[in-house]
Amino acid sequence: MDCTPAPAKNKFAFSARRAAIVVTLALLMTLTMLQGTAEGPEVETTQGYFLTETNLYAQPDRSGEVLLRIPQYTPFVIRVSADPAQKGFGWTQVADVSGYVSLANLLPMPKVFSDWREGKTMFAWDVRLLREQSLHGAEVLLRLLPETPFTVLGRTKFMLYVEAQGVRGYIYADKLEELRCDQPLEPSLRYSAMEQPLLSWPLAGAQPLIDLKAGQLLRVTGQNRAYLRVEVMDQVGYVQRQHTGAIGEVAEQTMLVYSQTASPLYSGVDDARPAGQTMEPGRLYQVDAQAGDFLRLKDSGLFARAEGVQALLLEAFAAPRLAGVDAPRALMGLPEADSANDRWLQPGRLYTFLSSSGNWWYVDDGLVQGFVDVRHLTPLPERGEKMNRTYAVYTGEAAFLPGSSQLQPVVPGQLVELNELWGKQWFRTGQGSYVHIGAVDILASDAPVRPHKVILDQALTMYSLPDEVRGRAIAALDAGEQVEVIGFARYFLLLRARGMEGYVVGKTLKTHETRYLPDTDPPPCEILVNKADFSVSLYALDARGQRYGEPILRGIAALGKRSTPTPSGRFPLGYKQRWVRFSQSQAPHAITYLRGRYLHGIPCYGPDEAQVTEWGLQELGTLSSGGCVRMTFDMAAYLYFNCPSYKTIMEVVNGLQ
Amino acid sequence: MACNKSALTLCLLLTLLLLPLATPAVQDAPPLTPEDLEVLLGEEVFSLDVPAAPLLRALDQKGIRLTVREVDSCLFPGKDREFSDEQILIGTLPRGARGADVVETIMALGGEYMTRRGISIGSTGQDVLAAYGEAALKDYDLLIYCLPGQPDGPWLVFVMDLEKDAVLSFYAVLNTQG
Repeated sequence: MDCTPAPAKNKFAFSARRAAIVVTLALLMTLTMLQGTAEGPEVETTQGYFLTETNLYAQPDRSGEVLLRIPQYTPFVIRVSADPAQKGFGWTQVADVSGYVSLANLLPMPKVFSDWREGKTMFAWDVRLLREQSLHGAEVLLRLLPETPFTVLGRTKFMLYVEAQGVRGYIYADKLEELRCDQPLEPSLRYSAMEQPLLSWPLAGAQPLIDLKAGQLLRVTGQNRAYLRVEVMDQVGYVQRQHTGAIGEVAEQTMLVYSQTASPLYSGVDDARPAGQTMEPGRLYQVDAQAGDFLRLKDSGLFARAEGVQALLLEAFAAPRLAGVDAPRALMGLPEADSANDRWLQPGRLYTFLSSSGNWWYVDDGLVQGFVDVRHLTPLPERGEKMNRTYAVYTGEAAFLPGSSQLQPVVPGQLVELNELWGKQWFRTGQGSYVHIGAVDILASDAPVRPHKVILDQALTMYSLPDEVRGRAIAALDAGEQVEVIGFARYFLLLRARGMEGYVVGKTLKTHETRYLPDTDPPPCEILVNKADFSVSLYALDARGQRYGEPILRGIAALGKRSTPTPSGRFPLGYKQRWVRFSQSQAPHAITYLRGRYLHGIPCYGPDEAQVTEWGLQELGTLSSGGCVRMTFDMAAYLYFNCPSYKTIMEVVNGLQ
Repeated sequence: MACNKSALTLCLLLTLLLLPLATPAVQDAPPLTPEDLEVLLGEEVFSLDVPAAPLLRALDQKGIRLTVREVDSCLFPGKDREFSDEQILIGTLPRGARGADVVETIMALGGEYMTRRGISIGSTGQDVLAAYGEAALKDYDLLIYCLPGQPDGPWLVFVMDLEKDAVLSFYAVLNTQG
């Protein structure tokens, strides 16, 4: 404290309460006197208490009915009548009950004396009850939280007489600590590291003066205990040092400043040399250093006076977060601002966000700058999903370089290999750039099968790609030649032959393992999972991409149990595995729809359908999985071969409207 | 004709003026926060993503006896468990230290359980809308809320009785993925 404390704000509220208490007491005493007047002229009113429990009698008679047992140290207002019939008794009221108490051991109220602590500001480390009178049974006026400051006014033989938060009363005097004066400090600049109140005293229980925002600049002028005395917006108050930061120490955070007016900029701070430039009103500038009352702006290296700017503190993401938008979204100049600046985020593009202020993400990539509510963003997850080898051609004209929002021009029709799926709408290419799902046409995606050997019954051409037009013929395989089938893509089988890998049209080489390989490209389709009846249905899509007609295939599934429900929503099919290994079982023909969540066949004890689990069979049509969609072997295998990954959607609903 | 135009303009203006009054102030509802995934019972607070043992002990001390159902966990070595009675279900995954059960799901099925924003079983759809705004996803009888920017992350889900437009049950789930 600087020994001139900031004023308490709610004096009026407590004065009013105190006034109400005083009025009530006065009324009680008046009523008592009026009653006395009615019964006889010689009435005396007194206050006191008892050291022991006391009976409240219905009549001034110890042998009479006892109305109440009154705890010791309870203060009384007692009317003492001169009536001989009431000799030795006084009339009083406790709560709503009135009666007589024996005056034999009545003690006068404790008197207030001066005390060596008088005038000092003190506090307790624990909760203290501020009582109306210096007795344990007196009414509690306030509950003082730990470190609530109070001023000592005097003492009684039991308690200290103090004023706290504008209310005067009594507290026990043990284990109190005096608040010393502030130590002055050379004025310096720090910032509030979080949203917090500016306190009227350097104590946790002190009253808040104003709310400080994260990043708000504070002019430090002193310290007391673990608190700094700071000036901010014409207020002087205290904040915990650990909840402030030195601007030069900003590491995990980014400080931005802005000015409402064209504040001048300075090229040096020693003699405040004007640089002949001003801040653009409303524009955000990143701060990278501090010198006294000046802040250095990162881009220009020029200095702004701290008193002329307002500051924002942004939390840096552990790694840059990429996000897009589904519709054009205006960027705001400031978080929660009403008006947008003139820059927009456009759908189909990817933006890099480095930091945030609450739910507002901040982008500044040299092209766009500002804040957007994260609810309007489609953020990519923090890591991508592994993909099967996937071939695509660009249909759009741009991809995005990693770590920035800058366009990387691409040639429409150019072949590209996609390596990772990021969220539901973005791929990472083999070149390390990001491309929107709408800017590529997926040609084909590999999926593994159980490796097996077959003998060609006719000559076949082996291609470099699963596409007879785009693929290059890499070998002419002869009839009778033995090859190893290791996977498939579209209607091609992926083979190993003559020391090479390549694709052949697969319809003449099908085995039980590849029995559901389509003979031509399967029609666009969508899977519908209805949690209401455990059904899984495969539908063809019309030209508008809508499900139509009767299902091509329909079956029943085991879905997520109540504690691990299969989530609702639309999910693109992703990574395919011939066998997915769980902690205690393996399941065939698994297609990822979320990280760790699959469509798959009935779990088996090993990588062999002959080792099917009996519980897996029994649980079809129940809520029993960990969130996966478990189907019969045939259903899972059919979807595996006929629903191309990254092109097919699975929709999970909880019932149909 | 001019009169008709004026009347039309007036109608449009009136519609524009009255529209905000007719539309619930769903935009005012703050976005879901991690604290909103907690479920309250009186002064007890049940949280996700914490070891289940203390919570189960606390429930037991309150006289709430839960039956346990367990299955082999898909994602983690050990058992997924569901502790439940007619009013609450606590779902756990064995992903804590040394395979300890961690709370994955808290599902209120009956009783006085309540969300941080005061929604309990029997609250109306309008109550939910006022407290949480528009759901991120409406799926038949489910109103699904997610944390901003985390559509596949934790969810708070209200299961609605569509005939009565009332909350039938609600649950918070982490949606832990592998």
